[in-house]
Amino acid sequence: MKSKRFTVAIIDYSMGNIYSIAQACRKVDLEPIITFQKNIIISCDAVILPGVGAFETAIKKINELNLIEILLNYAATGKPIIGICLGAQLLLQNSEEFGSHKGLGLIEGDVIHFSNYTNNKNLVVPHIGWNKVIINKNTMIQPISKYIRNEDYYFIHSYVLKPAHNEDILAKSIYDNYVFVSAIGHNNIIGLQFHPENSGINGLEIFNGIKEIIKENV
Amino acid sequence: MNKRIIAKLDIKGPNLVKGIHLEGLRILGNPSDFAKFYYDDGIDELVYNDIVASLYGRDNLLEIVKKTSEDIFIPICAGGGIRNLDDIQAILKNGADKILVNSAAVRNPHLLKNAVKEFGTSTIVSYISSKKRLDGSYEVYIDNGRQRTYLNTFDWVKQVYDLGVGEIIIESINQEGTGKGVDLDLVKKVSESVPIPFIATGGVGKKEHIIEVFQNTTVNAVSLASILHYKYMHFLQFDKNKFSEGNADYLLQKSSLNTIVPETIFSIKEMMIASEIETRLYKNEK
Repeated sequence: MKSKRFTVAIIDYSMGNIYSIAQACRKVDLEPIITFQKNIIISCDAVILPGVGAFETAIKKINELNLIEILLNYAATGKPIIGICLGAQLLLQNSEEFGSHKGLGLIEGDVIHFSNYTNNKNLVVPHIGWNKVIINKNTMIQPISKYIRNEDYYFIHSYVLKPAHNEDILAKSIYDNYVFVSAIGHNNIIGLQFHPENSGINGLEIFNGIKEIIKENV
Repeated sequence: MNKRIIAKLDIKGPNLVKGIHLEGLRILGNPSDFAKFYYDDGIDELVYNDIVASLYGRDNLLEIVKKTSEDIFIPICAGGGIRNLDDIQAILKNGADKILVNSAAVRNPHLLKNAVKEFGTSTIVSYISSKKRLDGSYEVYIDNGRQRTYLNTFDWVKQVYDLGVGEIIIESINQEGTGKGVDLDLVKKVSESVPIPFIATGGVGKKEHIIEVFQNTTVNAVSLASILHYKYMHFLQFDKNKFSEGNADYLLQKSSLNTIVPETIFSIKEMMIASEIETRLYKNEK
């Protein structure tokens, strides 16, 4: 008898390349469910929060769909939430984009524009391309770290993650000689600044990792 | 910073095609087959450019993008004949990560602004086809290189930057398909105009051309067509092989004096590393 596939709710708030993420899930035998509905989300084995675009617009749309309460409730269950790109930024508390905007606050910290982070107005932004991710050895206890390699992943972003606590930093990367945070994690909440769904075999390995983490929790 | 090499696939109907100076198109084969090869061999990104969307409709491109996104997990940029936000939404829904907009943006710059607002800076790529005129100035052309706009290329580059696009693809019509090398002047001037990443396309015939662009300009990526397609088509086994090879031979002849030396992605990357140009080296784990 074929065993049931684990389900992943890909939060649909109309922002982000949810279809690429869904394909990556299918590739590792996870069942993706693109949804914003409370009952469906809470029943899934993991949640992926995608995101491409502006922080302010994202929070507005998330609010309109009552997703903040749903996501906070989901976080309390202990099941994994993985934020990708803007989705990772939304996990933090504040973004300075176009004024100040509150995020989900699931991990303490802020989001800041690359040129402000580096004090360099001439920095080529967005940061686009394949870049090496360097795992923080101190946070190897985070389950997802096992599935991230010190290799190249695909980035495309103008803002960077600034987690408040070093122990929440899972990985760093370097752009134009500036070190920045490329992955964060706090208990069951994970944030990836790069796009695992666009990072070839290494990226698929992370989706595989999500599957393994679900398995261990069950 | 790792430099990228990108495979550009021009699509006509369901086929991969190639021309010279954007003309004299010949069919080379099935786009998805080429895309899979490039992905397996470590290409950094794919660009699908539908060059006759307005005549054939958009379904072919959507099909090709959908099929590609099922098995290929690198960024896919797609476009050609984009008219409005609905067109963009449709391609994204089929699995594309970025959308390129060319003619429609020149006709209506507000489209770019609205697209950026709706889909995000990093999703919208401005594709600019540029022709060098006899007096040395550069002019933007639209409708796949057929229509003059009298718009100065660099004015347009600055304008799309102000409109908020995340990336620019700058194409030299003069060099396109000839294999005679990239227009370094054009590339340098674009890099001096705006601080956003851009991709140079048009003219790469030998891997030395790629090294030349990366060593002499700050361009982030180079997009390749002839140099890859003419190599990889020999690896594909399908009935139309003879037909496609005839087409490739025709194109190679027309581009005169064998200026194009087809290469594999590995040999290009190997040369980049040897020339101290940082790039992602992919090991096929199959």
